[in-house]
Amino acid sequence: MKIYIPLFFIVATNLLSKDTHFIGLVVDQKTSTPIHNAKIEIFNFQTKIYQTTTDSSGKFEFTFPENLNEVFIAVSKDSYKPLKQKVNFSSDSNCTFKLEPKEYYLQGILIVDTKKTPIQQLHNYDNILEGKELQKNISSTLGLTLKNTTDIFVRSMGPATSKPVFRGLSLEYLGIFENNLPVKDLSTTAPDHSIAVNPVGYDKIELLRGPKLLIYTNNALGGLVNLISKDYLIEEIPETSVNFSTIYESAFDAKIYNLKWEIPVNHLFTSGSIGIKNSHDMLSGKGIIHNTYFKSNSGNLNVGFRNAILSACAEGSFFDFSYGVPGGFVGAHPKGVDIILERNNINFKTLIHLHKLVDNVSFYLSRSYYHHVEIEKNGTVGAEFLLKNYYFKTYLNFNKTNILNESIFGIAFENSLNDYGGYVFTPSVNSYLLSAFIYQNIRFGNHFIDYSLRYDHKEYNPENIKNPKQNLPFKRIFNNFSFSVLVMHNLGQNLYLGLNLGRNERFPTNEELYSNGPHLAAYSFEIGNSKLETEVAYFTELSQSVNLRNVGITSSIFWYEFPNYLLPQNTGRINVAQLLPIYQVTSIKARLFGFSFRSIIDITTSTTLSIDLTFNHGIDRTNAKYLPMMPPTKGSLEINQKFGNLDLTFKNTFAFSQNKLGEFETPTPGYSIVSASFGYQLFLKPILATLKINVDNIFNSTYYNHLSRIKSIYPEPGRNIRFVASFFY
Amino acid sequence: MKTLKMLFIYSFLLIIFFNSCKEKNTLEDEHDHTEAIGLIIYHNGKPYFKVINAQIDTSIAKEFLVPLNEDRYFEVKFIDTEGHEEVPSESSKNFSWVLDDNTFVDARLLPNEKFKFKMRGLKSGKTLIEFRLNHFDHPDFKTPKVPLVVK
Repeated sequence: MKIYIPLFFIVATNLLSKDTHFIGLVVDQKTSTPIHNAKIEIFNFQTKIYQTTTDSSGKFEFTFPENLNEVFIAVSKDSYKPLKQKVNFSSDSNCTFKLEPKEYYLQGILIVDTKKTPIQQLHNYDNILEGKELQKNISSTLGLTLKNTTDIFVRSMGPATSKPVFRGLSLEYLGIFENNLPVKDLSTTAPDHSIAVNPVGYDKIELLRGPKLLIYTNNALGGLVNLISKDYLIEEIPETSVNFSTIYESAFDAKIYNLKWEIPVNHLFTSGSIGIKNSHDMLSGKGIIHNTYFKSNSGNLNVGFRNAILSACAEGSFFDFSYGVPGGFVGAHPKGVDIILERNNINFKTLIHLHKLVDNVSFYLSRSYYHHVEIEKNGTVGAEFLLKNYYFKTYLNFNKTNILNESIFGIAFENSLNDYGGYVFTPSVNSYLLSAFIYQNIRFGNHFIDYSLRYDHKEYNPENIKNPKQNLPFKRIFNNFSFSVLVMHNLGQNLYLGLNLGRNERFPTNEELYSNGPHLAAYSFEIGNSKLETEVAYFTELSQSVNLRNVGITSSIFWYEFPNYLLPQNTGRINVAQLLPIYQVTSIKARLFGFSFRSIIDITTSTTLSIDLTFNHGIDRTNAKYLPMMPPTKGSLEINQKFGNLDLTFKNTFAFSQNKLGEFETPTPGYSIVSASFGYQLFLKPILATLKINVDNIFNSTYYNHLSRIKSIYPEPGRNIRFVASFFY
Repeated sequence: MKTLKMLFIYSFLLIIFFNSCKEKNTLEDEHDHTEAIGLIIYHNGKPYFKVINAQIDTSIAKEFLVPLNEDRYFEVKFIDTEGHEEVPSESSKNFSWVLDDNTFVDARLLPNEKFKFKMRGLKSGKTLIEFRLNHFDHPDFKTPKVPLVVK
């Protein structure tokens, strides 16, 4: 019933809205790619009578009065030359506008940095790493790549296990996606489990936030990291291309190679990639950390088809990863452990253009296989994990109307089988998830409203086990409902305010419900709780964005209130075998709040100064303590100077000490480190080369990450020279 | 053109086939394993020292006594959650101890034995000892530190 009311609303508003009589399409002149979020201004002589932006397929629509035959349409977008064109409605009911790039955009290599408009910054809350920014930050793992992003921190147990987290929230609140499909692995279940992706080889890495999150995941208050290659459902491959990139990191003696290709054949295409990564033990400020090596092989192959009505592609991919986790500290395998994981995927995607009430329909089907084994130093299997997942989703994208810029309705279905082996005593679990969601963006004059609603039905079916030690597993069903609303207001000129409110419901994970003894010995003996209820959060965030002539400032203040926050709590009992206190996942009242600030100042046309600062605070209100694993206040100061094709950056990254500690935690001192990067582009026809040298921690300072599980014995990497080279044909 | 299309399709099918072949369907776990909540040490077939639920059973002995300059032979058994005493049969299990001060006793496993050992007091005095049941190299069960007396 809850689903039918919003669906009716969407249909009714679309039917009652006036039909548009002019349809425009904005594309890239060179690649014919549709341009999203291009600014459209329509003038009747000198008077502006209408303004809008293009949708995800590059289209906009306009209703004009009967006596208006001719207008001027101005189209603009960052990194393109603006275009102003006369349009005669009596002869043209639709028109294509081709924008010329200011400089080249080549696959994987963006020569020009794009600056987002304030409404873009607030609208999706998204932060994008691409082109030169991506090359400056790209590293061996996703956590290390994103560690300098505002609001992102890194939890780790060695470099291979580094995982990004959003503010002070748990790992479930930052989803990891590849090309709009979720990455199915076990990285959120234990500190020594790695994310099963290779971040090298993607064109951009998006951090998505805001109401639109709910059409991807049941997480409205956190974020989503989306690793993006080309979206073959909407983007053409204009010509055959090959891209080779290589990275060397001195702190890990890591060598990374990646080869990508795209080959169009009439309406068909094929593309693919191969990646190889090999590293040795990490060199920290206190010497080599043993058993921190990592190696991976990865690849994918796409075949697809595209015409005016239908786009379809099929993809097969694999990721094989082996890495070491160090030992010798409390909570570790005594001599460390070697982990081997493999993840294979088969995906099918289809987009059908209808160009009616529903503009297009897309379907995604994915099948994932994940297997992970932990091998003790004597060669025996300590723990083993298996995950098989089938995932399906569909989106209905409705046409724009006068007030509805974007309307999306969708459903998703998922089936997962989790199995455990070796000395892991969590029972096998077969689970199902059915979701329905809507998202709309509404425009009222100077106001934009984004809202989204999501319903999830989740079933867990654990296997029956004999003599459960502590926690009897039984079937659980959850029905969750989440929503998020973002209101943005233009206060004039380039000042925007946004207020995001919502309620998020997260169902417990397998491990939170059913674990029956520790997989990895920790400071405590942790067991699940089959009786857990949904984790609930109410959230609010006030954001602002202002773009003065040479200064852009964005900031936000957030407040998350959890009447039911899931956290392991001391039961008062002791595990007499390990002599450890028994902790069981229960619910507490919790609160997180903080702020983030970012400013970009154009000192000259070729010199830019960037400043950012992030603060988080978390409280366990039930026990009057601090929440564990809360990141310290951190920030950075960066200056960038361009000399023609040469790009220089100096950056100071700092963090304050963290003394607000959860149980078993120790204080972490603050730090300040300096890094630099030098980039150069070279065009040797027909190959375009970009070369980047990054020197992290130039002065080889010794510093510690509060969220690192091995900080008690080892600091973060010392001086690390990263050499990144890309060659595009 | 047709050849190219067929090549794409075959490549894709090959990928699916090879990936499917090596996939596991289920995993084996250690269902039948020893889970100890205590241990009992025998000497000459009689109970000599017992720890259960992290407490010394003082009805048998308050401390672990080792005679000075004399070998004493022991056998250890572990007590499970139902109170049964057993010698673990899994090859992955082994018995060990940690002494606070190694100078008081000479302790070693008997040849070709995993759960029989001997101790000889080297000097009078008192130290602490922790007994362990290991799964390879990390303890699945350990006692608290208990007093070891040589006299």
